[in-house]
Amino acid sequence: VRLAVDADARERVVGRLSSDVTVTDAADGSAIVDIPVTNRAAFRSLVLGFGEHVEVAEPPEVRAEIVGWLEQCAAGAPPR
Amino acid sequence: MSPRPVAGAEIERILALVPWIVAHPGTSKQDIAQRFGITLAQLDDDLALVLMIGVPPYSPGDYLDVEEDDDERVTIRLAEHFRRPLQLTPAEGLALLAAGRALLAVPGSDPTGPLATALDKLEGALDLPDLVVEVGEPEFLGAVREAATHHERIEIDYWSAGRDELTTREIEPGMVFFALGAWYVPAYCHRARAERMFRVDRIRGVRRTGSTFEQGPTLAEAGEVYSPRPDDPRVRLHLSPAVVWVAEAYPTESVTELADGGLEVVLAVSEPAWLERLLLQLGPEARVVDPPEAARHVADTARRVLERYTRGDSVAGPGGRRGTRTRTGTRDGA
Repeated sequence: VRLAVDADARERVVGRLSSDVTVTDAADGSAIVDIPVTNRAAFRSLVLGFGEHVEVAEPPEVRAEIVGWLEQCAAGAPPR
Repeated sequence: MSPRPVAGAEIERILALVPWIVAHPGTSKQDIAQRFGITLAQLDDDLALVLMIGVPPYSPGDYLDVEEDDDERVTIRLAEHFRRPLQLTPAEGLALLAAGRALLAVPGSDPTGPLATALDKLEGALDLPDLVVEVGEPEFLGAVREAATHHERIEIDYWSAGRDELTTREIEPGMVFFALGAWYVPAYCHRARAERMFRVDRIRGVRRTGSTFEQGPTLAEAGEVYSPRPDDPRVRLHLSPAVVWVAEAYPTESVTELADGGLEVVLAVSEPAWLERLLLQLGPEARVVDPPEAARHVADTARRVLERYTRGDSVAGPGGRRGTRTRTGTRDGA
């Protein structure tokens, strides 16, 4: 799975992962991180733990799963 | 907040279940339960536990995964780590030996039992010279310990996971201790004007101030990683059966079983950001009963994260953002 990670979360995200990840750093400090995923629940927990600092870029079905999950969370209460 | 004790028989069954299901993907739960002589409810409990099995640092690729299709057929996917035969490197063998010796030192351990015998064999196979084992430590552990020993007030740069921010503060450190896989230091924090518990690996810098302090008697006792304060807000949650682990993972003030197998729990919350993150992670598996504003907070947080997915510069699609430097790390194959 490919993640887009903000500059201010880059160090914490990469530090949290195993060594078998590929990190592509951008000039602005943000990064694209490719990680293997076997456990969807653990993956979702990891991504959501970083809030808006991390975005699932690919594949589309995993991205859609996270968006669907967030939409369920957002439906829990109306906007203020 | 100790984890649920797992009976030896349960562990033995899971150790037998996992390789069998891996070798027979897509077997129905009914057939698996029948084969292992357990009820469907027991099998569900076992499979829930299997989902928690992984190896450090617990990346999403380091866990076992259990898939169940619409016809209740089960497949277990092994993380790469578990597919490899266990061939210890000298460093891994040494780590296992050190951990085993530490376990043997616990009062009540059998010094001539199976563990001791296995460790003797392992030590023989490693063919070790005389050496000293050094355990990895956070960068500023020594500086914090020294300040605690000499009752020196220090200035630290500290990353707060709960609020996701880096702050600078002066603290009066108490006794440093190790718990739950991390080093902690209880300290009086001049910024908060109260006692706080700090994780040493989240300290990003330490500077001496040259002033000392009187060691007070009120520092939190070692081992108590988070002590809810009376004025910390409380939140009441309904947890579905899938996420009852929350009651074991965090300090709870009350736990009540619900008719559907879930739990109603009351948690003390020192940082709203922590609660928002937890509720995002639990999603539809948890419901805020009280206070209602906590439910609104998490919904707002979810909408904020969703904005990232819907705004114009989202990275979806092949190619992603531009990259300039690449670091590729791989397992060493040991």
